[in-house]
Amino acid sequence: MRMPADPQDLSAVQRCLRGETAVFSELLGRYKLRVFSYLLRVVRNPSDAEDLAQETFLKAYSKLGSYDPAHPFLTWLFRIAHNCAVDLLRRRRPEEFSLEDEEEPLETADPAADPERRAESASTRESVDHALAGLPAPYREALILRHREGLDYRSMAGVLGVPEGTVKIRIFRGRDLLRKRLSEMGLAGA
Amino acid sequence: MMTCAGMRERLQELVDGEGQALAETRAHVERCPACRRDYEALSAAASAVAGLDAIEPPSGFEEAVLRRVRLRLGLGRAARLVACALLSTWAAAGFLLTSRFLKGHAWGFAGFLMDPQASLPGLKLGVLQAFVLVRDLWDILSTLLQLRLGSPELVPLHWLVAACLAAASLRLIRSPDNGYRRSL
Repeated sequence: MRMPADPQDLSAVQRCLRGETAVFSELLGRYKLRVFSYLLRVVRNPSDAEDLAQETFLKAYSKLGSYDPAHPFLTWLFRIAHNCAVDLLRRRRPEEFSLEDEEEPLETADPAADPERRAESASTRESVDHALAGLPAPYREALILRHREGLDYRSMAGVLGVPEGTVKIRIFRGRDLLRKRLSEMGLAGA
Repeated sequence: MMTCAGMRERLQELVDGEGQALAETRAHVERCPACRRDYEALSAAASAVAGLDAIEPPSGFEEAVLRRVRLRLGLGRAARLVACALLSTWAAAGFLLTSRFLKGHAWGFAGFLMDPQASLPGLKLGVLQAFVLVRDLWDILSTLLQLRLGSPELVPLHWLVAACLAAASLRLIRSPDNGYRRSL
């Protein structure tokens, strides 16, 4: 089901377009947390995530005139953020956005492999974040948009610029991989 | 009755709550312990992602974005001013060239009626000037197109009118000589 824009967002966008640029800070304050969290989990580098989040809001501001109120403002922001992240990852780490190795998630330090590190793991959430970070970027991104942000398949297809069938495949495979990793880490019931 | 074969995708759809035959899948999961275990593990993975904390951007993030927005706004205004200045110059040049050409033609036509042989060089010059004029007008047009004259925000019409008036005043003050007059 596709939701239209939130009336508050729509009003803020219209005021921005009429020249009340200060209103943009309302939209920024409302969505900075979710956009930054999403980008950080996709690119896995705080400095890159901050740059990309800034770029996302700047692009959003420049393109406010092209925003379609038939879709939620946040979905539109995610679309811009996704494009920014893909550009960066393809430029710096092209292997990460490839799904050739979809059955072989990227190697990252695994807390389960080292009992001491496992003991040091501050919380289950950190471990889940760690397990998620070990998935290929397209799966990681699909899971975040689906479960953390609550987007439906159709909205996700719009954000990621792929068919709904591809979205489903990424979610299914990503979830399967995450389940295996959580199980290996002893967090199957997380 | 549903069997475990091909349940992998159905279980995933059940976790998402989107897909076909969700009720049948749910009924199968309730009956089948192996599929129930799979379903619970997948649901746990989904819940784990859903339960992740939001992460605060670094302090000063909002100010940095707003600063960049303001900078871009300032640059936009500066670009508009430069575009207006450019267009004004082009409009003035276009006006001068056109008026000069028309006036030259008037003299040339009159001279041709009075003495066709004597004003032939002037007419040749007129043809050349026509080419130059068309070229210059095309330059003006392409510049206007490049600067998106269609956007009223970018190039206010009063700027162009003012530029044309300024060019007309200049034209009245300085009456340029031309080849036709000399040929007469």
